[in-house]
Amino acid sequence: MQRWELRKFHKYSLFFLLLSPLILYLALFFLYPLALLFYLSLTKFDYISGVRHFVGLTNYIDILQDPETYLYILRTFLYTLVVVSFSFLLGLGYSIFVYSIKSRIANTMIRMIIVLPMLIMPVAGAVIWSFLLSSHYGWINFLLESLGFQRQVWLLTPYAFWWVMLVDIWGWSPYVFLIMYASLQQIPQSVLEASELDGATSFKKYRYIVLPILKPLIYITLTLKTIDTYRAFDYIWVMTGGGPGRSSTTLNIITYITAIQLLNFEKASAYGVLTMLFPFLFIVFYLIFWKVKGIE
Amino acid sequence: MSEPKKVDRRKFIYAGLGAVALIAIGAAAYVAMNPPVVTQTTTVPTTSVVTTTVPTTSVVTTTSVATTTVPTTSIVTTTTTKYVGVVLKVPQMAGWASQAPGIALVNEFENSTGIKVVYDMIPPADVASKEWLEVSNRTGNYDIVTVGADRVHPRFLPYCIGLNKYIEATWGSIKNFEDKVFLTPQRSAVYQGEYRGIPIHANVMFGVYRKSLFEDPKNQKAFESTYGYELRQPRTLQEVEDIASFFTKPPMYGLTANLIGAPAPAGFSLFLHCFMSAGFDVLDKNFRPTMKYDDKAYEVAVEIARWWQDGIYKKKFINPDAAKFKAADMFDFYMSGMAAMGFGWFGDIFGIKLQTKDVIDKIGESVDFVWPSFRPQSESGGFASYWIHGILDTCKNPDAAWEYIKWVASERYQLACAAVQVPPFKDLAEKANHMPNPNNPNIPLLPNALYQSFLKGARIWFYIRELDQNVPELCYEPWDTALQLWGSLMANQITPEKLVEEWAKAIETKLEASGYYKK
Repeated sequence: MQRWELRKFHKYSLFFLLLSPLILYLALFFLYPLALLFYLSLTKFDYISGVRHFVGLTNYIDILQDPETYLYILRTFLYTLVVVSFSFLLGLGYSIFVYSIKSRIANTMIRMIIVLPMLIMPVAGAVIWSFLLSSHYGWINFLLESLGFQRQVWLLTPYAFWWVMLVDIWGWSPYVFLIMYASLQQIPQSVLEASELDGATSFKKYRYIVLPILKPLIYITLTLKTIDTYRAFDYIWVMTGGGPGRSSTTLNIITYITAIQLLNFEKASAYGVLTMLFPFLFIVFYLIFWKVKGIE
Repeated sequence: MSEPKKVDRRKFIYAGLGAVALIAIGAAAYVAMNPPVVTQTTTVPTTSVVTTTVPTTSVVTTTSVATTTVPTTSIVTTTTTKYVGVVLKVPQMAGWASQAPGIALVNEFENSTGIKVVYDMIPPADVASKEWLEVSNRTGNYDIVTVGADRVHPRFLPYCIGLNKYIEATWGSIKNFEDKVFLTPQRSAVYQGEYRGIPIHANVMFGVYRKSLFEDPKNQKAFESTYGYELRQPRTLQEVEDIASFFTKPPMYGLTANLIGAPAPAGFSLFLHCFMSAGFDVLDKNFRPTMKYDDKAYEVAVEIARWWQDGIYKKKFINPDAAKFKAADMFDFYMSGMAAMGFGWFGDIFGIKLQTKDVIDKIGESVDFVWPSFRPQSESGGFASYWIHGILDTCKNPDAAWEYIKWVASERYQLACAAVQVPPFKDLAEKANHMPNPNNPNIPLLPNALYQSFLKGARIWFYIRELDQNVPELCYEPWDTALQLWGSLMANQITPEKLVEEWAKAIETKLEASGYYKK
């Protein structure tokens, strides 16, 4: 080997040696499960003989031929859109409101109250809300009845899915609030004071100065929240179990039901691949979009 | 010389608070890791009478239990040192009231055999999936399998060893064993001609009512003047409806039940119980769904679905939350005094919890009754739930595992649990029905309603009586479809006709795909 080739080899071998724990970790906890997921989705397990058969795309055809699958996809998108939008707006609203409070004690107290829902474990929060919405035990029905309305078993009505979204918004808007509030505090006071001297109203201040400064962080927050909400499971599962019927079943829920209840891990793997498809396509388009924008 | 540093008071206070918080967290962690020992007292009925005539002591019953001689033919477990050092890993459903009294006696088994039993207590929703993952991957983490035969156990049988030689050694012959067990449960544990599981638990749904409400003279007078007959244990569905409507004055309701749809099976099991106790099987001798090909079966299926749906939404004698109730929710509701009657898996609590002083002080005594059939003229026992133990082929010491199963099937264990389940063995069930409940000597140890249902032929839901055959394929997609449909029915989203027709379609699709017939 030439001397310069040997030097290159030594340089890069050290590089890969130091990277090997990360590569091993990614291989074991990411690549292998992913490969297994794809493999399982192409097979069917015969419970009687205990033998696994390769069936190609049969599982995918089965789920795509089921009209309910498209409803699961639609509900997943609806859930993500509504929860992310309202969590963001509410979190941003909280942060602007708290930012405007001058009293230190009041500021601290209100921050604590706003963050409280995030401190409650989602499963515990879902159980609390299930009781609140119960026809017999629930405070919400108690209040409605005292106002002259009829009691409802809310989690059995067509509104059950919307209630779950509301609870998710309640639980995770503090997360958005924390990020936005921290960002607001980084804005130089001199800029805001200068705008006030120029006669800018509060609305104009936030519209033309604050929000443009916060734009990068808003993108990051929305991205993180979208990824998180797309994978939503706990609130839906605890409050409605995907029901009544299948009216609050999303892709994650049906994947779980197919795997854990039906014990059909192969079909569940196909649902898992389908669930991964949309974020994957989104990232591809996102990268293409930024690449094109970069070239322009 | 520099000035001495002043102590910042605020930092000092924060440091103090931080230290207190750390100590508190440490203490909480210590307590969490060393919880106080709760002594569980199990009242085990004595079985000193071997062969005797025992008079009946039941309180209220639809049929009288005759005096009879009860021979003891149960397994005798002997002390041995052959298995000292052996550890058996057994999965169990966490919080399962039906098995808790027996499990509490495990020290006796361990002391007499030297076998150490390690239970893996799994939350109810995860029992099937967790066991399936361990079993199908042959991890060896379990030696024995504990599965419900009403819907999932068929898939486990190929992973269990044949038990015929053990059965013959214990009961003398396969026929002797079959004669001792209530008929249909045992057959579904047969795989490739051999038994792969032994039944350890059986249960059926039944009704309960609050005696004090029914015996209240004011209620009796008001009821009779409204409905024209005396207020007593209901014998027909119309009477159930009348009594439930009479007692419904929100927030109290006349009837509660475990009616939940998916993901829990409680509600649809209830539908099946009503359907089967009307005398119908789910499949006919051609493996076709009866509710599609038999007009009478279709009619009764729709009637059952409508009765429960209307009970919540139109006639409103069932509490609306019942549509989301699992068994535990129903128990809580009933024991809070908010329902005059209940229907469901009361076997889990009737013999113990409902007989405790706290509950009796709050809601009075409860009386059990067989739920009236939708077709009294062709009445039969209804939906039987039962669980089996099998020995996995990865078990390193199957003989020791068999000792454990033998102990669970023994009189000692089964009678300990008889207040909260039906012993799957006929002689033990009869014996338990003739013994007084140690918590309430006025009622039998094995509640009458439970026992009578099994005598009438409570059975596996995928069993075809005409063919004496089980169709385990129904436990897969048709079962899940049924749970979803029932959930939609209970949410008032679909009609009873749609429930019945869609379920029949799902059954046919599955059986056609499984090769039972061509459409």
